[in-house]
Amino acid sequence: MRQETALTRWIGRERIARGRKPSAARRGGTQRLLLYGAAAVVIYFLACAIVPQWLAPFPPMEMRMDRSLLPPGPSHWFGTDYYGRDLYSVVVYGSRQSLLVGIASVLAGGLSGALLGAVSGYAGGLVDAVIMRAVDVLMTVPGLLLALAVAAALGPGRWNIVLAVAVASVPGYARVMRGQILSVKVRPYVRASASIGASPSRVFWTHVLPNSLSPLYVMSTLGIGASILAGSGLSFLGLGDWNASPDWGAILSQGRGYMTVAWWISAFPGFAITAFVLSVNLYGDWLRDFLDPKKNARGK
Amino acid sequence: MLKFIVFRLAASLFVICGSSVLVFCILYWLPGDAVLSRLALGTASPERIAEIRHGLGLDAPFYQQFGVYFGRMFRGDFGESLVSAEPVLPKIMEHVPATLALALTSTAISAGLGVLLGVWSAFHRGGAVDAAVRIVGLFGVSMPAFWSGIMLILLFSVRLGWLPPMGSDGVRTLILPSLTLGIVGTGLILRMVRSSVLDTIREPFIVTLRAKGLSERAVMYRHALRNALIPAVTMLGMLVGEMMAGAVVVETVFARQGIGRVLADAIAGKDLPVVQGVVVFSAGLYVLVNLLVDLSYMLIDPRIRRTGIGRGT
Amino acid sequence: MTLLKRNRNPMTAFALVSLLLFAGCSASAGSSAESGSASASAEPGRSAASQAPISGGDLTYGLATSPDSLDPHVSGLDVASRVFRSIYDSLVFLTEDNQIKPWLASEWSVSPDGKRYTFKLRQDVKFHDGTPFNAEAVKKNFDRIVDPSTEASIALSYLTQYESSEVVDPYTVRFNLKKPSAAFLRNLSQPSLAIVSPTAAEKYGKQLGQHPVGTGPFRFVKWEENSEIKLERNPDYNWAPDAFDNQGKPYLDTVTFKIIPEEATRIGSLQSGQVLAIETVPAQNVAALKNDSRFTIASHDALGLPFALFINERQAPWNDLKARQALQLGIDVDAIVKTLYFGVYKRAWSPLAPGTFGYDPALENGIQSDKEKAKRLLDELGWKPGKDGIREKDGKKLTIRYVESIPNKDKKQDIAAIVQQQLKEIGVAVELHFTKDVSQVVLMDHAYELFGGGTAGLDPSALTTFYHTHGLTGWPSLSGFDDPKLDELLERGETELDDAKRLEIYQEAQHYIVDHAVTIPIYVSPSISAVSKKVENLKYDALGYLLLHDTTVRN
Repeated sequence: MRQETALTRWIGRERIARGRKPSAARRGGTQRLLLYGAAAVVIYFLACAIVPQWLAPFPPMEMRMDRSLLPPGPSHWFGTDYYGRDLYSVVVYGSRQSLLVGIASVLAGGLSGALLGAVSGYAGGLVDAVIMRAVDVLMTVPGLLLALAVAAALGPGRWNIVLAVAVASVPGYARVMRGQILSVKVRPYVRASASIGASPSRVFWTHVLPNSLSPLYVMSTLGIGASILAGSGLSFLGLGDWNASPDWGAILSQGRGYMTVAWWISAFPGFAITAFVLSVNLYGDWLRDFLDPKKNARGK
Repeated sequence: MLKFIVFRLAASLFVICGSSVLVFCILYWLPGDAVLSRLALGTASPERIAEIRHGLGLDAPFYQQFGVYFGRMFRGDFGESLVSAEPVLPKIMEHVPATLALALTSTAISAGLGVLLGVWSAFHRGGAVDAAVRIVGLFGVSMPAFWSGIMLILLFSVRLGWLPPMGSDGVRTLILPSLTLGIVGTGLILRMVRSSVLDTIREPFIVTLRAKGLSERAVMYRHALRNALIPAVTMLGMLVGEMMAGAVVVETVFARQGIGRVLADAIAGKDLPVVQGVVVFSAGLYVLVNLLVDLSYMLIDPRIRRTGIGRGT
Repeated sequence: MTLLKRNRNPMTAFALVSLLLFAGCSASAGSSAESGSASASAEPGRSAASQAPISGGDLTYGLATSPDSLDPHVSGLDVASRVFRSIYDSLVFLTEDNQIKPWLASEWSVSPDGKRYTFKLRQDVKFHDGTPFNAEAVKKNFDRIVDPSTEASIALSYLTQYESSEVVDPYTVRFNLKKPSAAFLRNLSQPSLAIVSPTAAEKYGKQLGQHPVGTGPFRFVKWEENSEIKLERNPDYNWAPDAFDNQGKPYLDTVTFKIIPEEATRIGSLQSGQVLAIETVPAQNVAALKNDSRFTIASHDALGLPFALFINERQAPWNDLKARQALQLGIDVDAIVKTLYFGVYKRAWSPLAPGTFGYDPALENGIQSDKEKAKRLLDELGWKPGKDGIREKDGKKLTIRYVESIPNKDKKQDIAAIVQQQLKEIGVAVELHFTKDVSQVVLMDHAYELFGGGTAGLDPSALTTFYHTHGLTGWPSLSGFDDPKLDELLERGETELDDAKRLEIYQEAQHYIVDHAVTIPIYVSPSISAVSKKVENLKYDALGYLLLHDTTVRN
């Protein structure tokens, strides 16, 4: 029952905190500091993705066997890999493909998934049944097979993984969105609004949708990380594109055999993924609070 | 309620058929050939390969192969592997227990840890605990499973010698793989639970309940947590799909038996009957779990029961 | 040459000649076993004197991939041979230093024209299922291999000259060949031509691969797919070749092959004691394991054809020798092998691996990478560097499609990645195409300019498969070189029985291939295993497969 008391205690604290300005401000300060840090990381990696040539000290694909497997040091900050490439430069260039996979697939998969889920949840009836069964079908087809099908249809290239990951993520967004809509549309204020004569579309746009989006922000910020990881899973299974400069997942996957010999090859791309995903998530949280209609309504 | 279940089961059958038709088409159109890919380079002549393909019916036109395959499938005959000539059903059943054990333990880890940490984190919102929990959770989500798996092996098997790094028999071999797979789910559920608990407590009805002077305990348990759990439960249903996908990697890293690897090998070898067998199985499992998820909405949220998602779906 | 010493078996002149021929290359056989018990010695009486062998125990052995089938005639995979070598015996035994010794056949003779081989068989052998081993069983085996419905793969490729077999008497069998074949007898020792129980073959048909029955020192217990294969001692076994200390039943109770695809896990399983030995140790981990006092490393360079890049000459400009030489000089093989394999794999210089009969050491250090000369050659052909540094001619860019298979076995994809960078320096763009459907892409679509291949083999006639115009059983050759001169050399090499002449033929063929830049040899593929020191007398045959007759495990 310890949890229960913790819960009650917390509620109490929350109430007190609302009344007490200084504490709230202090918390806001930590939050802001974290946010600045996160923004710095995101901006840095975005810069890496856009102008890697300004940030990387070496050409990323320059292989020199006389400097292979050097540990991190002053001339090679992240060390070098088994090809004798400067790992820092490889990671800087790798951010382009990784961020592309992360962001583009979330945009594509998230938007179409959320749309399907929203329509399905709000319309109900036959529309819901058909959409959700189609989503289920998509969900049950193995992602690996989808990835192969996309690769076969498009030929090798960097958009393959984006599309494969996007398609595979559609069902997730659709289901969460639908679940959320179902739960929101029966809430008292929504029903109240409908009962005083608001049109279904007005109810949808002003009440149901804004109140359903919150988990989606969280999900899509997390999704950026998940997509980068899904791409790395495809690299693990051998489906990565070796013609482009490797993305973080691919460097990680190729370096995993050297973990006991040269830990840095897999450690640094791993840290890059973690730092980026972490930052995006913190930012996503802030976004969620910022966009929260209830909060705005309270005039805060 | 009963009507709803019957309706959903019928819909499930539709889903399973739909996905096997889709899989059939994808495999048919994919380049590569089951016969060619299983024989060593240049050991069988083109004529011989044509004969073998003919024997397997792979040279027939699409509609004919389609008809033959689904005709047999509806009679419960999943056929034989194009690679090893084994009957598909026993082949898959050999791997099901290991996969189920892995999926169940890692889902349990994800759900248990995820909800606990998520709620805990929401309690301490903005504080050090919150930050710590969230960051730890994020580490789980931002590490590829093959990487965290190998690191667990290096730590717990090689360095400490506590747990076996591989195998699929016994509880001890299950710990590291389910931890690897469970960490990912934990991160996802934790975040979901945290944010929806935070959402819920700001809902007007909670405020109203509080204003009415209901005890905090009642507010939290009867109302807030219940509402907060809906997205988490949805997530859990989807996790089953994620677990299946993640299983390929974890099974490979930990050298476990399981349908994930069977599927990956079968896809690589264009072994249609085996791919189909695995897809039907995992589709069945997925549909079943999501049926349970939808039913659990009704248990959690009485309003959904009242308006009836049964009518909607 | 110390040939006379081996003149012990009562054989006809021809058999003797061929035996000598195998002995001849023993001195340079490419094996470098490291110290300790895992040493690949096949000398009798090595450890017997020091202490009595311990009976019992389970040998756990980590495999890198799963066998496809345990039917020796059907499987085309190395890893399968590693397992079924202990389930089945062959007619003859090839010692690690390349001598042919009796096994299931006690003696044999060859007709003067080299086309008829007569084998006398042991009379005390029976299969695991109780079926007696005799001439009828042998004939049924060979009939089975050549029967198209068996879908035999590698096994069939060893029998290109085989015509028929006949039962002379219950324990004498005769093979008739279409043409004399210098490789025939030696290939009979291959695990792929091992003898399966005819009763089981009939009973299981295509499923024999899941229910293997042979005469070997271990019999099959169970195969849990993707997990493990378990064998147990054959208590009746009493017919091991003389090369072993122990001709009777093996010391080990059981052998368990664990399938552990991920490198780090495989090594971790050895280090944490889950398995006692592992195969396919990645080059970068060899040094650490070698320094660990608990383990020994055993490395065997495969005989046959080393891994080499085939240049597809069907597309211009690669039909021009100068263009191919530009690749030969532009690819720095030394850098590739040193970077990726840390000196554990040897660089290959010839289309034949060192130690294989006919190998010409004169080719070593012959072709050295020379980027300037490579550029000059391409300049001469009219391919001039464009704006992006890639050469162009008539508006066409000089692009190569490099096909390699998935997964990344032996770092072959990394080779491709390095070649891509190296050739970029001489102005050739390389497009990497990694696929699971190599046969489709290479054999059917011809969608490649570079493709790597190699194969283990006991005899230089393995060259025929990859370099003869019609070597790939009805498929077009990999290089498309299709040169009548080379074809003729390879044909003569197969049927020539005089080994001095044969040596000359194969040396000429190697030089011809290198001079015409048909392929670019990269590395000699070794099989590297790491073994716990608890295991003693783990032995290997000439192809690097495990032999467990003498093996013991200490607890």
